[in-house]
Parts: sequence; C-alpha cells; structure tokens
Amino acid sequence: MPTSVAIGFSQQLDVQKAALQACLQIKNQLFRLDTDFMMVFSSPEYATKEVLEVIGKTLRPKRLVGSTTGRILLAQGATNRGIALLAINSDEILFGISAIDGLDNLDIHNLGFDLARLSSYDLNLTHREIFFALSQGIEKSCSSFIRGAKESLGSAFPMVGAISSDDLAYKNLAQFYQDQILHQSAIGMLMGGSFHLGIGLTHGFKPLGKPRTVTKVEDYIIRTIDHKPAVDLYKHFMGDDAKNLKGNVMNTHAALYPLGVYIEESRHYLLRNIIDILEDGSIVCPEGIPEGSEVHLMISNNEACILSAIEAARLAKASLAERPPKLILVFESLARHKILGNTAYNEIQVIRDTLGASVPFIGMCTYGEIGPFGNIKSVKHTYLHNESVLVMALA
Amino acid sequence: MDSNTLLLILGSILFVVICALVYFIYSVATKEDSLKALTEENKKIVRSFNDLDEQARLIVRTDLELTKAREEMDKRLNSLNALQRTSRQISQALSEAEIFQRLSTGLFEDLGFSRVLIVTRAEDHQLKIRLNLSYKQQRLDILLKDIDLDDLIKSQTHFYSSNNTPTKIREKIIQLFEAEYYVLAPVLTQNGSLGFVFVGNRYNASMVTQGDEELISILAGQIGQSIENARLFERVFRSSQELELKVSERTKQLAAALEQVNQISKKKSEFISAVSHELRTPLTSIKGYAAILIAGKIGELPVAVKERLAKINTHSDNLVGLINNLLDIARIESGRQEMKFGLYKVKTVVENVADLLTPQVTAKGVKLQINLPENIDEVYIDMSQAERVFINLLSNATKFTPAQGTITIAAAPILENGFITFSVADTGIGIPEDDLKKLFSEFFRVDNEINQNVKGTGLGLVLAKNITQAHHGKMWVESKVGVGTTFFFTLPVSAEAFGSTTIEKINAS
Repeated sequence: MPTSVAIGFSQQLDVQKAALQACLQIKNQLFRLDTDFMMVFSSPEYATKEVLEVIGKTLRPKRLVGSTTGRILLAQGATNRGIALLAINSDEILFGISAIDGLDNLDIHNLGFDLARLSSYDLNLTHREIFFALSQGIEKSCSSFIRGAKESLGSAFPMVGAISSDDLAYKNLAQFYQDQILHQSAIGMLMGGSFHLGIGLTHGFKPLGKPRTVTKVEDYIIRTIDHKPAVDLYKHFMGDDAKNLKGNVMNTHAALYPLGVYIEESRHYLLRNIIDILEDGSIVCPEGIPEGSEVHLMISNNEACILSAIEAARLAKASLAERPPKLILVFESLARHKILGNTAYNEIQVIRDTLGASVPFIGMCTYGEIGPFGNIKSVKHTYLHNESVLVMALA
Repeated sequence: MDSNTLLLILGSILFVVICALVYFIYSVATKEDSLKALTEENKKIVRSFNDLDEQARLIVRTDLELTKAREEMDKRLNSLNALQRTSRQISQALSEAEIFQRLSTGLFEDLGFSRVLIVTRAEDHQLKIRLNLSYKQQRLDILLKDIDLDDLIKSQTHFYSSNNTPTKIREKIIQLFEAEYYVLAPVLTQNGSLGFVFVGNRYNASMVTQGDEELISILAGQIGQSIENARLFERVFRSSQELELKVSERTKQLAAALEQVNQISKKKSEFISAVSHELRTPLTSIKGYAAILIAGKIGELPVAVKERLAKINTHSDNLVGLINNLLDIARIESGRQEMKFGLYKVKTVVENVADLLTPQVTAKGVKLQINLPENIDEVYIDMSQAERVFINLLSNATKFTPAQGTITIAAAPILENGFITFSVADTGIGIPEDDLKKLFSEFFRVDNEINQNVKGTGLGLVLAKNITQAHHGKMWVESKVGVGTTFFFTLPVSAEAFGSTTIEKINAS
C-alpha cells in the first residue's frame, strides 16, 4: 500500500461535532476503516476526552499523538481556533510512539532516554529515520532531554520536536496520546521505514548592539548580564516600553527582540524568548543559558522572517534531492506571528510555493522548536530554539 | 692576575652592564609607547561598541514605534474591512433573526477576540443569546439570570472596555464574562439599551485598543439600528398581512353580497318580466276595446266619452312603453336578451339615428352636428340595440336643449382596447352634481321644470347603459348646470375587442 496522507479541519463550536467533521473529511480522502497514524493539533478548547473518543470511533487510529497550539497552520492560513487532523496510512512508513507524563518529578535526561527507548520498542524496526518529541515541561532543560534521547538513539540521530502552546495563557497546554489527554508530559514518536525526510530550521534574526556576557544564571533564570540585573538589557534598548515587560512578556513587544546566544561550534545565534521578568529584574527563559555565554539582543522584520521561511523550505527541499514531497509539516514559533502580523499567511504561502502548492500542509505554532540549526546534516547540533520556523518535508 | 687585567675585566663587565642598562631603558621606553598605542586602540574599540549600542538602541526604538504603528494599522484595517462587510450584511436583513445569522463569529476572531457574546432583549422582553463564541451553556445560564447584568443592560449608555471601566464594574464584568481584556458595548435604540455586544480575551493575547473600542461601539450601534429597522419592517409587514387578510375577507363578503344582489336582481328581473307579460296581455285588450269604441264600431259615442277613451288609449300606450322598457331591461340584466352582433359602418349607424330624430330637433330650433373622425370605420354591435342607445340619448338631449341650442354626436379615436368612445353633447340646462350619481338608477328622474311637464318613465338611461354593457362597453356622464350635458359610451370595433373585454373588467376599471 503506498503512502496516503489526508488532512481534516473544523472550527465548529461544538467540539465533538468539530472532531467528527474533521474525521469525515479524512475518511473521504483515505477511504479506509482505520488509520495507521494520526497527529492532532487543536486550540485548547478542543483538547477534551470526548474529541479523542470521536476520533477513535470514526478513524480508529492505531497510533495517535498531538498537542494543543495557539495557532494551527493550514494551507488556507493560520487560525487560533479549531481542530486539525493529519492522517497517514502507509506500508512504507512505520511509527513507534510513547508517552511519559508527570514531568515535574522526573529527571529530564532520563526522560529523553526512556522516551526514545520506549518509542524504539513500539517501532520494533532497525531502520529508524527520525525522532519527534511533543512536550510541555522539557523546555526548561531541553538540552538534557536531547542528550538523553541521543544516548538511546545515537549521537548523530536526527531529532525534531515542538513545545506545546496555547492562547498565551500558559495554562491550557495539553498533549494527545492515543485516547488520553496528558499534561506536563512528553510524547515521543519514532519514524522508520522507507521514506525521506527533509528538514530546514531558520530564524532570520540578526544581532544588535555590543556583545554582553551572562554573568549569573540559576537554572533557566538569568539573574545578571554584565553584572547588572538582566532586565536592564531590555530597559537600555526599549526605554519606557520596558515597563510593560512584566506579566505576560510574550505578548509585549519584547517578543520581537529575543536574546541571541552565540554558539561557537555551529557558528550561529540560538534564540531565547524571555517568558517572564521577575521582581529582582531577572529574566526567565524557556531554557537556561550557560554562565559566560555571549548574548545579544536580536532583531528581525517581516521581510527577514519571510526570507528565512523560504530558506528553511529550500533546505528541506534540498534534502529530498528532487523527490516530490507528500507532506509538509511545520513547527513555528508563536512569538514569530507577532512580527508577521497580518502577513503570517505569506509565510505559509512561500513555504508551499517552494515545496509544492498541492502538497498537503499542516503545522502548529509552538513555544519552542527542537531541531538542528539549518538542515539535517547538522544533527549533532540539535537545540531547543525560539522564534524559528522548522519546515519538514516527507517524501 | 695582575691589576691591569683585573681592571680590564671589571671595565668590560661595567661596559656590558651599562650597555644592558641602556638597552633595558630603551626597550622599556619602546614598550610603553606600544602599550599607549594599544590602550588608545582599545578605547576606540570600546567607543565604537558603545556607539554601535547607541545606534542599536535607536534602531530598537524606531522599530518598536513602527511595529506599534503597523499593529494598530493592521488592526484598524482589519476592523474597518470587517465593519464595512458586516454593516452591509446586517443592514440588508429584514428580520432580527436574519441580522444575527449574518453576523459571524469569524469577524470577531479576525479582530483577535476569542470570546464573543451578543445578547438582546426580544420583543417579549426576554434576554436572548444571539451570538456566542466560547461560552458554555452553564455559563450562559448564569449570565442571563444575573440581576446586575440586567441592570447594566438597562442603564448602559456607553461602552466599557478593560482600559476604562471603574474598578467595581470591571471586577463584575471579569467575573461574569471570564475575560480580563474586553469591550462591552450597549446595543442602543431610540428606546434605550436593548442588549450588549461583548468581545474579550481571557488573557492579553490581544490587547484591547482604541480601534477595538470604536469598532465594537459602532457595530453595536449598527446592530441596534438594524434591529429597529427589522422590527419596523416586521410591524409594517404584519400590518400589511393583516390588511391583506381583512381585504381578502371583505372581498369575499362583498362577492357573496354581490352574488346575493345578482340573485335578487335576477329574481326581480324575472318577476318584472313575468308581471310585464301578465300586464301587457290585458293592456292590449284594453287598448283594443278602447280603439273599437273610439272608432264607433259599436255605436257613436258622446264627445266627452271619446275624449276620455282617447286619454285611456294614450295612457295605455305610455304603459305599454313602460312595460316594454322594463321587459328589455329585465331581459338584458338576466342575459336572456338575444344580441345579434355584426360589423356596421359607424357613419351609417349615426346618420340613421340622426335622420330619425332630425325632424323633432329641427322643429325645436336646435342645431344637430355630427363629428366623426376619418379613421373610424366599423363597430361590432347589435344594430337595433345600439340604435336605441343613440335614440335615447338624442331624445333626452332634444328634450333638455332650448331653441338655438346645439346637439353634437361625436366619436373619439379608437382606444387601445379596441373600443370607440361616442358622445352625445347638448347645450341644455345641465344636471346638478348630486343628481349625476343617481342618473343611471331605475325610475330616477331629475327634478326640473321640463321633467315636470314631460312624461317619462326614468328607465331610458338605465336601458341605454344596460345595452352598452351588453356590448362590453361603459357609459358615463359629465354635466354642468346652465352649460350642458355630455353622455359618453363605448362600443367595440371588432369581435376580438368585444371578446377580450368582459363586463366585470369594465366595471372594475
């Protein structure tokens, strides 16, 4: 059986009816009683057990994973409400999935190792191609998670992933695993078999001003930069606007200026959003930055974002070596939409234009993207990124 | 070792030491210069970095301003587009339900709001949910039963937004609607607030801007206006329907009454017909016997008796004329009069009648004129009946026109429906306006000096009108006292014209 890909989407207010409508769209495309693999992206209000029951009864997926998101990306545009389903039926591509919840009390390194191992068991195939992770909770120590997973799969094993997002409340995050709605969990998905996957990850941001040094860090909290409260960096550049940084920082204009950590080994800037400002002026980032790191304030604009999306799509396409893609899957930073504003659709458009306008397209906005910077050849340098776009093309 | 050698050695050592000292002093002096140069360079680099940082600060602030302006512009543009689209849609709605069907939640989602609730008071004063995005039934039940909300709706005359609401009301709104960032605008009508439009977000995913406040207020106003229009339309529509129903019922009643009148009229005609027949037979005998007596066939009679018998004869003739007229009317009304239609030259018809009445007209010293257009050729009539119409009208005109007066028989060009309008006009005494309405009633005679002196039955015009109607034509009159009277009547020019028009249509027109 060749690989069949179908996408369903609904925005009906009744969540069960919405799930059913999306399922029926898929059923009409696949003409099969059951489904080999499903990925679910939904806005938080659709993350209910009833929705998964409807999907289970209608499409009978053998393996189902998914996540909430603040924006669903579809060929027709981006939306902050609804449920989108991706279904794959294939004899050529095989899937192994696993889930671990209760992350608050777990060692993240071990979690990465176990998740990859459990996914391998489920895949039960030696020909493994790529490891996906969808999670809420690993971002605070994502490098440990990546190291753990790679210890299980091999240091040069390709790995991508996304941190679940919501409506910027950080309170309505959830992950889907089979018939369960999980919170504070990590979902692993190992793909194997006979297929090709192209990856491109870029951000389009440039450093601003002189380099600064991170002088004091506690876990994922940056206490001082150049021996001054970390927030002074933003105050210096933003003036009065820095007053609005407290609270939901992701919604202020600070989201436009992430911190860029210079990574010597891969010679690029790894972006870090600031997600909160503490009373003492410390900055909270999704993942800690090592003391002594060189950091910059980073800046981008609409055009640079669009160009970087084109570049990411080109990198993914180049990895496929002329093979026509059957699916485009995109994980994109939710904060990036702040820069793109009304033109967010253009980014989707340029990706589709580059990889093929008729290729099924689906994606989600995230609070963090996991992947190698650039293309799949840089697998050794896999990080948690912010403000970036990760384009994956399956052929 | 002699002293000279020792001195030489010491001198050499001293020389070397002095040389080393000189070299050391020279090299220290040179390094100090390099260090100074390095320090200067370093200062320059630091200054450049600081300048770069200042430039970056300028860039960030400019970028922030541009971003804010773009965001506001994007939002305004979206808002205006959405408002224009929505206003156009809802202003065309003809019912309240249609207004809210045309309002889609997508409009508000485009504006960045994830919670939307539109509530209005229906005509039965109950609050109704018109549009809902994200609220579950349980929450809606709580909302609609909340007394404070009801008070708020009744008293609200301006919008509240998360940027401007007094703390107490703000807390209430947040508690009720579960949204910290919001705009709550009243749906205002001429009779006050009818409900509200609420849009909001639980978190500051999309800040409420001045543009949002303006847009939601305008939209709420537009909804209020549209509701008023729709209600007005519904009322007009309902009244119109009620009126139509009443008209329909009344028409049915009138039709039934008309049918009843027709039945009565038919019975009356039948009765008159029967009575007339019964009267005519003995009347013929009376006339016959009177004639025998006058002729003296049964012996000579005294003059006085002869005079009386002559009067009996005259009155009997009048009575026969009256009965004949009654019979004709009854026949025509009941449809029993057999009409012999054919095409006749208009000129011939009119001239025949004129010839017949010219002696009387001339004897009275009245001038008779005939004006017929050239293009009139034929009429489709029952010749004898149509002549009776002309004769009747001409006789009347002669009767009421004084000497030196003029009687004119004329015809107008053919009408679109294929009928010719004939007129018989006189310069007689005219008919008072009040009498004009009764002129075609049976037995009605205008109360004037001439009528008092000349005998008449009051049936001639009725008969003439009935004959005209039997031709599917119509008859009417115009008159001015002291100026004259004109009778108009129409006759068909062809069988097609006759066939395409019915009596009902003519009457209706």
